[in-house]
Amino acid sequence: MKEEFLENLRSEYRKTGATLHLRQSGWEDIAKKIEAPTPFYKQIFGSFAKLSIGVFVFLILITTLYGAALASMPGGLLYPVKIFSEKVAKVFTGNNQVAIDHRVDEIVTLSRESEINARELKKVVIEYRMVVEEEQEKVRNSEEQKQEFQERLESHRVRFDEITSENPGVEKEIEEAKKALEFREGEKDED
Amino acid sequence: MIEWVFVMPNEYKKLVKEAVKGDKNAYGELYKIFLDRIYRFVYYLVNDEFLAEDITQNTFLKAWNGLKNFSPAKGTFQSYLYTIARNLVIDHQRKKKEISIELTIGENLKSETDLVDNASRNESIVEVRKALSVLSENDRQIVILRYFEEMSYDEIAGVVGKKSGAVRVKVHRLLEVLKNNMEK
Repeated sequence: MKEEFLENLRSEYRKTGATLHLRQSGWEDIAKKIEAPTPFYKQIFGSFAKLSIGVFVFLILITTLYGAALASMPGGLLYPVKIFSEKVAKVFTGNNQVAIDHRVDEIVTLSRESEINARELKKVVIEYRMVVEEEQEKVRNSEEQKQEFQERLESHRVRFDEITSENPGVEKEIEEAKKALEFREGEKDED
Repeated sequence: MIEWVFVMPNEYKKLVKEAVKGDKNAYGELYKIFLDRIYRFVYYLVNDEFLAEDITQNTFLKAWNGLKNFSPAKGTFQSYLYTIARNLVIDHQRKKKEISIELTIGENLKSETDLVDNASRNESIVEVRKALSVLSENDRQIVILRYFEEMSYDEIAGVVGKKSGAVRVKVHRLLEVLKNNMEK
């Protein structure tokens, strides 16, 4: 009796079929929605598009990081990135111009801050003198390069003078920075 | 209109292979083979004709979209389909927060009356629903897959995510529950 009940139940269950709607148009509905497998050229294009997006995002990140690093000051989180970028620039250009320009900018920025961080300023001034002196050694044998470099240093002098007049409190440090320029001039006199 | 055909196991395997390669027509044949089975499996879990239609169609759509990842080594095509159908039912129940779809006496009477009024085939539905209503949703799935659809214990284990031995024990226990309930 019990077995018969279960058999009947199974038989009744199997009588249940899909609705008329599904039988009549179910497959047509599915067929419209399903896509044929992606053609090879589309797969390639898809991969290329993904790669391009990846590269684009990477470049955006690198650019943002580099931009933030350029604005960083000594002691900042991204300052090592800035120093690294200067080293890379030196490899490609063969000179210290990028590092020198960065140091001048840092001296100007630090000198304009409301609360002067004398220790950091002094450190940047020393680094400025070092890179300038190193560059002076490099351009010593080329008159054209010497002339060009001298003009750059003159522009630095102008900026330093402006800073000193704006903020006399940093005169001592700026004078130290100017020594790099004097050294060049002194050498010139000796020649 | 679908022409209902009987397919030999070898032919069925061939259809699965072709469908995996992206053959839409082969998949259409598989749709014909499994439509009734998937529909009634879903229907007896959700007890709603329109919802069962919707979930059945979504099952076939989802199965097609995931076919490239289907491997016979992981299980049969039918257990692949039932797994998708089961997951869609679970998703639906979760969304609706209808944790239990046990029929209340009131619902039972109402549904039964409606169904009997509708067509004679619904008498079968009423009988089955009445019998299955004593089981929880998970137990109902196991009984349907094993006893009604005659799937292997391994296949059912794959669908419901349990060990084959545990399914075997459960099936015996559930059939006893159904038999005992008949007496009441």
